[in-house]
Amino acid sequence: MENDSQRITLIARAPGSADRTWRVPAGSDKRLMVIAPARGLRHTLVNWVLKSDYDVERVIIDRAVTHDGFLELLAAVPHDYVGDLLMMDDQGRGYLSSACRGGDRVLYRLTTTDLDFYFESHEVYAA
Amino acid sequence: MRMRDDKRRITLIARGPATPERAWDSSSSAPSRLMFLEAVVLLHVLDTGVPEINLDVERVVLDRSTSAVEYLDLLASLPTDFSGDVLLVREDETGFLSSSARGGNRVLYALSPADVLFYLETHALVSAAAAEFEMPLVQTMKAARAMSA
Repeated sequence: MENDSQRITLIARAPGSADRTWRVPAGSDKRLMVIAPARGLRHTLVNWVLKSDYDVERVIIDRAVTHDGFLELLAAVPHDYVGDLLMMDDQGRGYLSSACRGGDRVLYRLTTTDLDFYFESHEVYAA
Repeated sequence: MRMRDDKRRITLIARGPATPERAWDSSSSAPSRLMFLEAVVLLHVLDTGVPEINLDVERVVLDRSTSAVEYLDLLASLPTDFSGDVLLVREDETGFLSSSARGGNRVLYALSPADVLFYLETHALVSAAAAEFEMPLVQTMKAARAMSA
């Protein structure tokens, strides 16, 4: 919360799974928020985070939701949320939902290599 | 009517070997021509590309035979010029509908069992009588879900 002008990359992971450390480079214009909602990821994201005043640039869901759950989340995302929604599954694949010009969303399937590229290009790192 | 003379647009329906029956209206008077395929075959066909199969596909229905990950893969690989609906019906009769929006991009809707039935009935994919017959089952399922919640 040091600099509120920084846009937020929100990492959502399952409660109790802290096997991966996320970070952004020092001096980055991004800041990380990590949540592990116990009450349900969709409820937390849709009813709280994405409707709040937080400037969430992207949400990275780190193995915290099933594919069914991700579909439910995509169907419930507020229309005025224009950030990325990225899901990583246990097999190392990803699905990225990005908003396009008209406000609708486009879905991409990402390989492990694509995921690495995405993280590198957005300067978000996991170790 | 011979198949090649049939000018109706096509609804591709993916089913599995163990998919329970549904009262599809595949009569020649139905507004859409139904084509049934094994889910694995259909997913392969769609992955190859809808334009390449040279069929006028109006929509795709994945009827209780396709997983969420397969549906996600399908949505991510749909050709941009395919503007038809892609409906996933899950085992519990809930579903997801991916529809083209104004700009050509897609919007995803979560559907309740009643929504799924409404969709199938309003597009005359099942007979109205069949839908009326199936509705009590849906209500029973909703009641059971409400009790277990």
